[in-house]
Amino acid sequence: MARFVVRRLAFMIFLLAIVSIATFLLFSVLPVDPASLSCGQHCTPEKIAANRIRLGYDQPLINQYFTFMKGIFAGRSYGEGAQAFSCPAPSFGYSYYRGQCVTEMITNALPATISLTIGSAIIWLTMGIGLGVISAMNKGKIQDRVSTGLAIFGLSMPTFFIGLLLIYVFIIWLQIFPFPSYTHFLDNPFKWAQALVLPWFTVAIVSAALYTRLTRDGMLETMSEDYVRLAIAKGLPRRKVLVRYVLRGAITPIVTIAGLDIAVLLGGAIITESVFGLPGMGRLALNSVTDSDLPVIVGITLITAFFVVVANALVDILYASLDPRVRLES
Amino acid sequence: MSKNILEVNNLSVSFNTSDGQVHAVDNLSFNIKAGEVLGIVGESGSGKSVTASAIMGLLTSGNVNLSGSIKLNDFEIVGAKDSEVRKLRGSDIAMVFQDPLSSLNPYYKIGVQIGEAYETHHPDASKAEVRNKVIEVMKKVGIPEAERRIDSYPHEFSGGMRQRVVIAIALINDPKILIADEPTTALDVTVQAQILDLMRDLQKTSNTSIILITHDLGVVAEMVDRVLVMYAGRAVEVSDIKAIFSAPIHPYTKGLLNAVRSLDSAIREKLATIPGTPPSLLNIPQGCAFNPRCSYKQWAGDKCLVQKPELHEIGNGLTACHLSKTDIERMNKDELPVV
Repeated sequence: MARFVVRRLAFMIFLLAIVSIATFLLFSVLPVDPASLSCGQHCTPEKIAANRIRLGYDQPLINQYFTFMKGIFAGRSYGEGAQAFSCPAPSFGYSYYRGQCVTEMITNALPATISLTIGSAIIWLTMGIGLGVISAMNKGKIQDRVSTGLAIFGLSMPTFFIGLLLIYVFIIWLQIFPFPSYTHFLDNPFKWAQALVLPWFTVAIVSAALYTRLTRDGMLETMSEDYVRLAIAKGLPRRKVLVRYVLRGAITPIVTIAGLDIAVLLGGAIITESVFGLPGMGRLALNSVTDSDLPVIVGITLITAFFVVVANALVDILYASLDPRVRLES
Repeated sequence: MSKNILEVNNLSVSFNTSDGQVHAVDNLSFNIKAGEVLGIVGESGSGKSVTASAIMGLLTSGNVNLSGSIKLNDFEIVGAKDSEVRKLRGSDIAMVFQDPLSSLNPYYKIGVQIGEAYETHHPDASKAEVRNKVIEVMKKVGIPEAERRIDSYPHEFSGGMRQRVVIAIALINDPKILIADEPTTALDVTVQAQILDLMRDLQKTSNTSIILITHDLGVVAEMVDRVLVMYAGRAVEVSDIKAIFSAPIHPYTKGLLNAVRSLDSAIREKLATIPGTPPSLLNIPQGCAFNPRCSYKQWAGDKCLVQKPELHEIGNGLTACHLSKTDIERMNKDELPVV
């Protein structure tokens, strides 16, 4: 098992290196000139040329890449003399548009996104798996139809519509919540939760549907397995058969998809964050794209890729601990 | 001999499906004594496995119609609460399924899976007690290095060893009846013999009754005392093992025996088959269900087409056939009706 984990982690690092190169190349061929973007008003060709040198964009691409990568591990300084400033490690570059280190912008945006992701993941997993279990246990009956119907409803609603619907019902009409303004968890946990409940459900309603389907189908498939029949023949109580045998057999694909869903969401839920005005990664990404703020976009892309790659590795490791057969094959 | 441990009377099972009612078991009666080995033989779809499920009390879903009586030591299983039947499952009646490769849960160590069967029926047992019990039963079914293998996963076992694990699960509570549903079908021939030997030894030492469900008459000959032959959900013949091989009293049994290649048959001799296929359980023929495939129906006349034959005694066995005793004797002399 230990060897499997080490190998999987080594592969993850290799993958991250590839992703960073790909991202860097991709953005270097974009027809956007960061030197002119950071030039400001009263721009002259001479200023742009000077800027290009100052930012290091005159260097060959490979040098730029290594400077960038070095920044991630050792920090990076910009400018010379009195104007010099630096972004400490891990530095993902500097946004001339905002006059801020990219890392700082991302760390400011992450708490809101992490809060959104974790909260909604808990809700959608409970909701999705719960409805799936109910469906599977009452296959063909009214409970099954209602659960499946709810799932399809959730799946077919656009995120922004559910978000606006929740705002209308709970904030404007019933006035249960004030209009959300994000507060840091450590400052005021109650307000933090108050601002996040509706976004949590917005993301959860859309995501739960898939899990209902996965759980239902997985359980129905497992129920016809011989080992479930044997478990019943042993005289195990229904609940135990259901949890230890049926759900256990259905859970593996759910873990895989949940891991990836969570990772992608950590890169920012653009629509939900915009609808509810959450200062998270999604909003940061959206703003940076609108402003053509290239260093920030590169930073966000890399961070998101990092989450996905790490989640993939974690899912694989989790998979191995969930299924003894995987361990053997490695 | 000793008294009946299981009595099945007029058991009928049908399933409601979108295509109509499927009559899987029709008016089946039989019993089994303590220590007896009963073989239930028939083609796929003859109702063997459904009968086993009914005895295990597993036919509880809404689309099943169950009538008749299944009495285990005077406890009526048909219509009993599931929580009551659950106490019998795995303790008084245990079951071994066909495919050992899929009968074990791939996610749990085999010690856990064997121990579970004991814990469920002995909730007060300590961990150490369960473990000792598991090791004991693993040794009993011939799993070597039980102390070490108890922590292995099913995929680390061969097919034959897995079937031993399944048998260990069945035997850990010393059941009164063991239902073995085609226990050797999925195994290599050499392993088949080992598993049959094992079951016979265990049956002799513990006096457990065994219901052996199979389509393999060779397996039946190996270890069964009495045979129940089923066709289209009904019992067509019940006879002692010797009688059935020397003088079957139903044309279907005769057909099954003809289909077995014996060692002294000529190598290029064509294997005998029963013409036709078993009837669809949605649409069982009127009269005798076997009549469309029967080679001897001319001797009995039109009766076969209109009247369902009931089980009645001929010699020491029971048969559900309209043929007279003399006709059956002619059948066993390999005479055929002139068409």
